[in-house]
Parts: sequence; C-alpha cells; structure tokens
Amino acid sequence: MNSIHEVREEARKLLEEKRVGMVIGYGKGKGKKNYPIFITDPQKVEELHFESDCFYNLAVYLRKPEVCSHGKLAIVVKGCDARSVRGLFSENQLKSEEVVMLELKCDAKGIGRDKCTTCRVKNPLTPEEKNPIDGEIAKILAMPMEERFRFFAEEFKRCIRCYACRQICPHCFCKTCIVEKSEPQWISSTPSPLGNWSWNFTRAFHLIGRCVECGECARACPVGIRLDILNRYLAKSVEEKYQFIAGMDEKAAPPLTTYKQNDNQDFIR
Amino acid sequence: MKSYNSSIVTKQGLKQLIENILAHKYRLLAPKKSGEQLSFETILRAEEVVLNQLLRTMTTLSPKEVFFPRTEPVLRYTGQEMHDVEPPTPETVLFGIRPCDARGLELLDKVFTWDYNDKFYLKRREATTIVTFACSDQASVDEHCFCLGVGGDPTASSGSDLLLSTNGDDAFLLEVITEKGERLLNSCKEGVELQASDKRAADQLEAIKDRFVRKQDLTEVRHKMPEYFDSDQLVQETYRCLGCGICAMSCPTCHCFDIVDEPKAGTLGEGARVKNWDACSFALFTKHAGGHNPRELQCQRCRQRYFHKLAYYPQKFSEESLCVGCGRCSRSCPVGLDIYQAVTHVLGKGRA
Repeated sequence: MNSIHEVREEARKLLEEKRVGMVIGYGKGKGKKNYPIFITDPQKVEELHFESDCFYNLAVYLRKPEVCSHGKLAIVVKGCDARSVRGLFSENQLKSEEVVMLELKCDAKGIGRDKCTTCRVKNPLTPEEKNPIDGEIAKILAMPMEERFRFFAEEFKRCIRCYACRQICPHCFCKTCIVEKSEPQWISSTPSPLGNWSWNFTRAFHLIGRCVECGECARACPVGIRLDILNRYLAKSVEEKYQFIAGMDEKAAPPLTTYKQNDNQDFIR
Repeated sequence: MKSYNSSIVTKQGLKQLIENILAHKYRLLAPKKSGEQLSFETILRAEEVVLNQLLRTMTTLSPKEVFFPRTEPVLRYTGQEMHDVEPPTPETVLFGIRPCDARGLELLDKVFTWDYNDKFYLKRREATTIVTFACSDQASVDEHCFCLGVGGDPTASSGSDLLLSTNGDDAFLLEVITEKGERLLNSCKEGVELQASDKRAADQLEAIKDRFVRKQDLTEVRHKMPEYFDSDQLVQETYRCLGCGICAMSCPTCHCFDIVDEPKAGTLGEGARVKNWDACSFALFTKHAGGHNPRELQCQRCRQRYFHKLAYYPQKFSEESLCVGCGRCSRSCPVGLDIYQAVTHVLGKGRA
C-alpha cells in the first residue's frame, strides 16, 4: 500500500465486511503526538494517521488478551513491525490467516538511541539485504574485554527493573517470564548488580535470532540503557553464522529454536 | 510553616555554600548528568553541580529513592537466626529537588507513618536536609507539568528546609524555611555573602503560572472518580498501556514494594530479606497464589494507579491527591500515556 488513504479504505472494508474485529494503527493526539489506536468502528477509520514520527512497533499489541478477544486483527505495519509479525508467525504465536497486515513505507529518521538509524526495512515489502554499518557495535568491539565489562556494568547499574524492555517487545511473549518464576527462582528480581546482569543478559540471549532490531527496548528504557547494541550485535552474529535474518520469512523458524540431525555439534565434548 | 528570613546570594556565593557543605562532610546528593539524563547522585566536587541544568531539566527518576531506595535489605539471616538491619543514615543534604518533589515527600510521610513507623524511611528523612529549587527559571516548567492542578505550587516551600529561586541573571534568592535549614546554613555560610532581602520565591508565582500549558484543576476529581470506575472511556484512554512499571518507578509518591529473600551466593542458608520497588501496573502485582488475578486486564491495572493517586489516597489521608503533577510518568511513558490527559478527557466527556 502506498498511502494512509489506501490503508483507511482497506481498514474500512475489512471492518464493514467483518473480516477483522479490530484495526491497530497510529492516531494523533491533542498534543500532536502520535500514539497507538485501536479501531472497531468502520466510521472511525479516518482517525488512522501515518507520518515519520510513528515509531512504535505495533506488533506488541497482537499478544494483548483484550486485543486478541476481538478475533481476527488488522495491523498497520512499517518494515520493523512487519518483521515482528512474520517472526510471530514463524514461532507459531499467530496464524497468518488471523492477521491482516496493512503495510506502509516508513521514512522515520530515528528518534534517539539509534532507533531507526540502522534500519534496513524502511520498505516492508522489499527489505534491503545488507546490514548497515553499525558504529555503536564497532565501538564496543574495539574495547578490550575489561572495558566492555565496565561499559555494560555502568549501563546495567541504572536498571530499575521496570521491565519496559520486555513489555514493549513483541517477541517477549512468554506467558510467565523467567524472571517471574520463583520455584525455583532463576533470576533475582532485585535491582542489584547481580540481578541486573542476569536479567538483561538473559533477555538478550532469549532474543537471539528472534530480535528484529526495531530498537523499541532502548527507546522505552527510562534510564537510557543501550539494550539495542546488545541485541543488534546478537542479530548480526546470527546472520553471519546461520545466514538468518529474523522476521524476513514467515515460514523460517529461528535457528536456535530448531534442531537438525546434521547440526554441527563439535562444541559438545 | 513559618518563613524565617530570605537573602540574596550570588552564583559564586552559592558555589561557596556547596563547597562548604562538602567540606563539612555532609553527603551531598544533587542532580547530575548520567548518560543522557539527570539523576540524583552523590556529589564529590562542587563543580559537579551544574546549576543551569538542574534548573531546566527535571530528573527522570524522582528523589524518593534517597529515602525509599529501589532495593534495600530489611533483615539478614544466617540459618535460623535473624539479624536486624539498621539503614545507613549519614547526614545528608539533598540539593536541587523541585517543589513538587518536596511536596511528594510530605505525602509519603503519611504513608510511612500511618499504621507502622517505617524506620528505614524515617531515619533517612531525619538525617536529610532538603534544599529545593523553585521552578523560577524560564525553562523549569514544561508541557507535562501540572502541579497547579493538584494543589501544588511551583514556588511552594512546603516540604523544604531551604528554598532557592532565581533572582536576575547571576543571583539567587535563598529562603530559610525550617530550623533544620537554618542549622545547615549557619554551619556552612562561612565566606558566603548573604544580602538580606524582603523578596520571596512566591512573588514570582503569577509570572510562572503563565508558563503552564496544563491548567485544569484536578483537586475535586476525587468526588467524581467513583462514577467512572467502570467507564468505557477510561478503558479507551488506557487501552494502549503495555504494563511496564515506568510510571510507578519514576513517580515521587508511588510507594508499593515487594519483599523477596535473596540468598547469598556461595553460602548455605545465608542471605537477606529485601524490599524492592513494585508497581500496580505489573500483572504479577495482584496475582494470587491460586492463579486468579482480580485485575486481569491492563486497563484495570492502569485504572488502579489513577484511582490510588486521585481518589483513594485523598479519601484515606488528607483530601490531597497523591499525584503532585511533576509529569514524570507522562514524560517517560513509552506509549504516551498521560494521567492528566486521561482524567481530563474522561471527566470532560461526562458520564460514560
């Protein structure tokens, strides 16, 4: 789709013909800021809106119970949202026949903490192949190990365990997060150095090969922790080692969630 | 509260005062740039206090952490034995909080002394002298601020021991509000030129009022809130809430905590019972052991926070709302939720 007008028209049809129960998109508030909106009434599709500051990854709402209760859903997607939706298909979290994607080309320029600046999916239908050069990752890789450790220790020191990174992430879909498990407890829920290391690294590891690099975790973090660097680096590693880019093919499961008889297992000794 | 006296102090004089505070071995906490934001940190050198910055930008997290840390041990255990924990309480000067933050502490006092005197909070309160900066700079008030709508005042002295406000380009007005403030000033005023003045921060109130975009009065909404408990409009306003805890954790008055046992690594049967910040927006907050959750949906959890701020606390304690209008929750909300907007929209639209 090329314009928001076409999206509104399609949304109206989908709602009128009862092919979907709800449309998730962007709206504009009184303060002229955009925010996620949820439309069930075909009369209201004019509220749908899109411009370069529509930075939310709306795919996160596809797992909210109050949204799911509306049956089939339509969702306005930019490139990163589309990657998320396809990622959720590939991990059997959603059925492709239950979600209609209303794709829009995105020209976001980035809104701090590198969100959007390393994007390669401005166009959801024809994503670029190459991973853009990532200055932040290069900076970390140039550090000696102790310095890297200090960098992340300083970052995680600020963590208050508000879990905004998890809540805003479409791929953190576990019904019970590992940090909430108490019998036994795997990760300390205390915002101490130990608890914060375990939490932030465990979350990053759980996202290996699944993170679509939308940068929402870093954007949401109220204390400015650069979670995006960690996640983008892991995504890059997966791409290099497995030639896999998360969320590009809805039929391809993430490499670390699959098993093959001929997997290279020489690391097991 | 009686205003003792006020005097004009130059920028240089204020720097001297800060140096004296440090020389007198007080622990000094003030907003300091950390990464891309301001947070309350221990100050070791006077130059670390950047006055322009703290006048213009509000800290992301509130100063409640000075009294109610994000985590703290409340008892330690070794096997079957339990040991009391005393909170560390060095003599502290908390410098550069805003009038809304100071008021927030007064509201918290009521909670932490209501049915039980929380020694961890109270001992820290006792050991701390509060130097507040009135929001008198052109840029102190932004589009999220609404203290005036919840009974606050950007020049108010309540909750502060000393009150600073700007006075022209290079000078400040320093008001002594309490005896504690007077003691601090007396012990640290060596070499600080203080010129007596009959001005007060409050003289600037009318001019500052004009800088507020959010002017609607919310002090009476507590009477109306119960009607809107099941309002569809409130559900609509909060539908996009994702259930993180940013609002509660950045709030100067949210005070819920969780108690967990933290075993000490590498030991058997040794550890501490710790008190960690919690948030009513978390799904786990009300989840019962049997699996039932009385607040099953996110909009119900969001509603709880709004009602606690604007209806339950006033009902229980003081007619004052538990929201001080600092705007931190809306500044940091990753999906642009906003208690002021939600409440004014819903109540403005009438009965659902």
